Amino acid sequence: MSEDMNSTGQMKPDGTIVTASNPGELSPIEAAIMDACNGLHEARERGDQGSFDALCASLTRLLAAYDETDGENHPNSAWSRPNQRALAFSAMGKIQDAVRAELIALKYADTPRRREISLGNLADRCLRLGDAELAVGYFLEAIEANPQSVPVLITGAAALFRAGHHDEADSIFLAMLGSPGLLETGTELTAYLAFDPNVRAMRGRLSGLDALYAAWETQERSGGAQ
Amino acid sequence: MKTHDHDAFWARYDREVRPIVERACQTASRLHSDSTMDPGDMAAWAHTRVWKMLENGTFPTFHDDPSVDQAIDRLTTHAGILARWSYLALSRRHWKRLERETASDLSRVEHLSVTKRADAEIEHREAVDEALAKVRETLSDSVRQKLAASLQDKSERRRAAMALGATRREDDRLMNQIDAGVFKENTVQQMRSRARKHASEALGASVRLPLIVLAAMLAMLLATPVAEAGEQSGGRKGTGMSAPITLVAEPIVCGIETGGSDEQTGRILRAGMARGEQSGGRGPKPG
Repeated sequence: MSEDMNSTGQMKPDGTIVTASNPGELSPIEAAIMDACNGLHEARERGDQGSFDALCASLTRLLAAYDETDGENHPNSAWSRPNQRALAFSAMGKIQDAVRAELIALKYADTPRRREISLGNLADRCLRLGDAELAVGYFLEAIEANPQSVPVLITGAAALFRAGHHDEADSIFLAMLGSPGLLETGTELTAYLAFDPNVRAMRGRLSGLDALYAAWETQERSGGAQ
Repeated sequence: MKTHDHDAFWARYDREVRPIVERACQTASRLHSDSTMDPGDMAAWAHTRVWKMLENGTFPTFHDDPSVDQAIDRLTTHAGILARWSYLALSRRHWKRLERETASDLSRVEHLSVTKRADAEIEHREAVDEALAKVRETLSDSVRQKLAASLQDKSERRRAAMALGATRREDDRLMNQIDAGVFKENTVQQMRSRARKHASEALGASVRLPLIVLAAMLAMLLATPVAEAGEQSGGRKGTGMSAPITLVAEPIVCGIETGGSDEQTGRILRAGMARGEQSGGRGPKPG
């Protein structure tokens, strides 16, 4: 039984989303893995066991194909293979396995971008394991690698919020509010506001986040009316 | 109806007809839309319709120049029909809106598959930097060093040290000493315990969960996972891969709705769904 199943066999609610800074840079299998992971996270949120099982089987085949092609000739397959495997484990609800795999990836993260991704993902998973303090630690490292990363900042805000640093968490959302370009359609920030159940869960508890939602919704309405 | 009777009509309409129409709209909303359609919207539509019929003297209420009594009687008797009309008039827009609000599997996965980093950057991040510096100060170097160095699993110590930023020469020396068994196990245990306590205190009294270092985290599953924020997938700048390649010879997914995207060219998942097989190749890497 995977970690996301409780004793009665029901799936635990444990949602997150996977994004890429530029989907065009993903290889075909990486893109498919990302889609499958997002499908799996959603299936788990909805308690859709049929989709969950089918997507797990698909993901396993995709990972096998990715390994067989040495990460589709990724320039740093020592990093990309465990990184992709960690994404899959995470989506399957095997969060400890995901942490283990991502730590291996981190060891080979040879660029600030790869370091940002691995550390940010570790922060996300530590939160899902209930360890907000360690998540804050990983977040601080990730944001050193890329101070402008929206996914890392949002993960960090969530970690800070969970660790009791509400003002610091809200300062991140206020800074985003002051940068209207981040709210353009199809950007990472709008994806998080729209789909990440955990960002939505902080709504109503942080004034900056509430203002950010209001700005986004106003923009969506005016865009939809055009 | 004569124009000079309109005021009397509306006075009686508000008093006698309006409540009946509103109740009829509530019933219609419950029967036809599982109460998802707003009865207030329906009633507003019905009142507007009555106003238009009166202004234009049209069928079926005002076409034969009725008295106020007759008009009120007709509207009271046929309030249910007015409610039904309002449902029919609003239903198309209503169901479309509901459809938009209920995101399907397809829309979320598709949306995320084309999500991109914004061109814009955070403009005024001084407050963020200040806040993070404050948080960073609470996690001192010595705590990071001890957290990494005191991991139970030796093989994880170096990785943890890198992740936690415990990469100074003295951090390395401490880990070497622990690896070499210079310290007794009890001493290492105490170091771990103190480091956790220190970090918990540093991060604030509101922190309820104990600080678990990596080895412990890997070894023990804590309480019910609490999901937060999101993950990122990597990529490879400049490799320019675009054509789908043969990976899986069967439909990849069954049991979940996925669909096409006009942005991503290599979406194996959706391609597998759509065509049931994969074929093709990948051109040589540029450069």
